[in-house]
Amino acid sequence: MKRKIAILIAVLMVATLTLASCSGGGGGGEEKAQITSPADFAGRSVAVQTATTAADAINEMNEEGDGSIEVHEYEKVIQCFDDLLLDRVEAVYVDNVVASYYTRDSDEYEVTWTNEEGEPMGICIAKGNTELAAAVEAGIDTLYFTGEMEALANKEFGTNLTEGVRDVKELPEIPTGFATVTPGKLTVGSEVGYPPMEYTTDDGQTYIGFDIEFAKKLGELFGLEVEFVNTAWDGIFAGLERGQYDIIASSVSITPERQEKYILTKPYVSNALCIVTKSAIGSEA
Amino acid sequence: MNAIEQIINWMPALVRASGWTLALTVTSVFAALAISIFLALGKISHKPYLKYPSSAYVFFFRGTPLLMQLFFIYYALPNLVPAFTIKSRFMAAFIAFSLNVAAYLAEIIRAAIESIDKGQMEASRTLGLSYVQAMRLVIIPQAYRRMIPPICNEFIMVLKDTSLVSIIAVTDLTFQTKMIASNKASQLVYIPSMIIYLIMTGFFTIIFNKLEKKFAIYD
Repeated sequence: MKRKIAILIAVLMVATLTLASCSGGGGGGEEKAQITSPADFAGRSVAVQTATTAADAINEMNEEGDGSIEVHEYEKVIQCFDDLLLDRVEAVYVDNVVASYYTRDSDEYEVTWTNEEGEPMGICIAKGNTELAAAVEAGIDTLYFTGEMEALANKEFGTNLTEGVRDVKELPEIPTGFATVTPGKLTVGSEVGYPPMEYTTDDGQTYIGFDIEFAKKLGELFGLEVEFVNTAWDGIFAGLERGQYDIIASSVSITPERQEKYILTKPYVSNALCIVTKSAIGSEA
Repeated sequence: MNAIEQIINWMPALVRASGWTLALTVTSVFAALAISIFLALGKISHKPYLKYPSSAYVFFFRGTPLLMQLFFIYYALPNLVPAFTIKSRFMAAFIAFSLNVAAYLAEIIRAAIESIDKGQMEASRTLGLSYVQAMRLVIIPQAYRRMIPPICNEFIMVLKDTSLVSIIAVTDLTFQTKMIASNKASQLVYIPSMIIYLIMTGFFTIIFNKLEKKFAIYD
């Protein structure tokens, strides 16, 4: 009796583990064609960051299609790129601002497709806080007018991703009289770990990046001290609703769903979804 | 009414996800049991080549966070030694949990064996049994009952600790819950998920209580 139970358990374990290693396999096996558009996703493994527009798009494709895309959803975007390098996934579906960061200094990755339909980013403010939203809007306009946004984009992206986003002819006046969560401070929510938008120096101590620099400049314009709250991406909007910070400056793509629940400014930097794969040269080396 | 409808809609996904939670818990605890028996006997042994490696193993796996071990096996190891690249996320989680849980179970088993009166071993040896025979026929059967409550405890801890694997995207109950919470922007989903965890832990508590009663006849 005991021996039978032991054998049964052993068989069940082997079965579960085989099943698990097959279903979670991905990659590997026979050589497959490079993924060069979302249409190629079917039957392949793709990594995305959880709760991003890329994740929403790919889950929607799975729901509407045959559901054959093997989606790996991670909390941090770097996990997607780690998986790609380790051949656990065949592609990463991600914002092109981030893709450009990873592909700029490395020939291991390759951008094989960029969505023609842009998905620009905005600053997110809690619903109803229209005074602050107007001030942020005017602040962005000011930074565009003075050319500081362009300089920042050139520095962080190597290209001017602010080109054509806003056309500001005259220096706007920044409205005052808005309240902040902590008086005298502009509290900014950000998921630090999304280079080059918001990340840290190599020692992990100092926050740097496009959004960080932008928020600091915004604080200067407002005459407020800027404080950053580092938050997990999948809880970032909930934190705004709870009043943990005044604004989210964390690569928030403007989508109709988000516009319904929060105030999103007009675009402050352009962006589009893209597909990153391991480059042909990189994998041979 | 609307809330109840929502919860009913989530149920299939949550139940499917708790299947992975259960599968991971059960497989890794049984694998860990197999490893831990050797570790426990190794720690009890007086032979240095058995004693020290077993102690070092327990020291390492009990002394570092499980989450870090999980990350190490999934991300760091493949970068250090490409041959150790584990493709499947479930497999990586299974290995991390088995190795970690084995360290805890080894201590439980060691404590249970050492709690049996010394006279038992002495009497068995006097009767002419070898060390292995004495262990197998006299000491370990008595130690069973003392092991069961702490093993039950450990099992339930593991069941809850499996929520850590959501971080490497194993689609367990916690992962599914967080997905629903962030995609549908509804925090209500934590309630049915916690109830499912309670049902699972409750079920195993009952099973272990039955086992304990069954082994009580040896006392």
